[in-house]
Amino acid sequence: MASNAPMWGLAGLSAMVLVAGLVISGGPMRGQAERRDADRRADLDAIHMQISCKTIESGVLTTDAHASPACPNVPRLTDPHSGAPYRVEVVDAHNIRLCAGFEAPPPGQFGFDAPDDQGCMVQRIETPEK
Amino acid sequence: MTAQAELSDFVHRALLAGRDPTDIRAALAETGWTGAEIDSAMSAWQMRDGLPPIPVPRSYISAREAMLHVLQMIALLMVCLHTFLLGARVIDWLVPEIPGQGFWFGDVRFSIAALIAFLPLYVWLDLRMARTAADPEARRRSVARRGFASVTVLLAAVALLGDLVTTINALLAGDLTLRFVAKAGLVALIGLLVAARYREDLNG
Repeated sequence: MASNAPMWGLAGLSAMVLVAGLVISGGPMRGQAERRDADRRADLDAIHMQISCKTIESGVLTTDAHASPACPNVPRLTDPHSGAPYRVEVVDAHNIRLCAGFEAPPPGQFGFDAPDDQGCMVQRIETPEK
Repeated sequence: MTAQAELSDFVHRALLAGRDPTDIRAALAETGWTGAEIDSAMSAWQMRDGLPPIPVPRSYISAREAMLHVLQMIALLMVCLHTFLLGARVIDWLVPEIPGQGFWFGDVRFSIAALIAFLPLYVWLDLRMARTAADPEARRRSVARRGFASVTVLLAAVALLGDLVTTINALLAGDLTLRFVAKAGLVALIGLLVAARYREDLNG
């Protein structure tokens, strides 16, 4: 009769890989944190676009993301999950730093344009030539 | 009645009438039946003193058994595929190509889900099929079992050969990294376990 040992070997190998996968992926909690982080990322992108519009409108770099006649979009300025306000800081005449409370580790998951370990991203703002 | 059934019926009636098997064979050969057809018809009956010709059990195909074997094969394929895919991602995470390289977990979660669904099903089906085939004669005559074992061992052999070719190619291209060797080893281990499990079922 065929031995069951190879079948149990395959099942054991699969189970080990399954457990390792659960450990590295962090389970459902990590998935929920990643979805919340995706919302935060989308909000920061919206703030970036609004500030770009306001900068073109005023001619100078601004950190004010509120709506204006030429830039009517209303990006979310606070984290919808934690309630904390997003931080917008001027880096130099052409760059701003956008920060949020990201939960999942930021190992460059989304490529070069990913938050750093402080939850901040530096974005370039094109200012009109004078 | 099919030609083979007619032949078997003739052999049965001839043996019942007390005819010598050698004469039966000669008569059939003279009529034009091939050696293989005659052997098949003659081997379908056994003679014992005082008894009429005894029918010899033949191979059978059970639709229910075939369905269970197909389901078992699907479960086995899913287990092997996602064990490799998930194992490869675990290896990527353990041995990144570039330190600090980003990692996305979407496909990891899908493989985890597939293994949670199919691994218990595969183990249950394999144990169940092994129990129903505990009788060596029943196992030997099951066409579905032998067919399933044949296809499974063939796929395992193809996977092992593909793994070997890929490894040699990587060696020649200078791509034989620790990460690659670990993944190739995982494929080899899965293939060998599958082949070892179903090799004995090839001939019953």
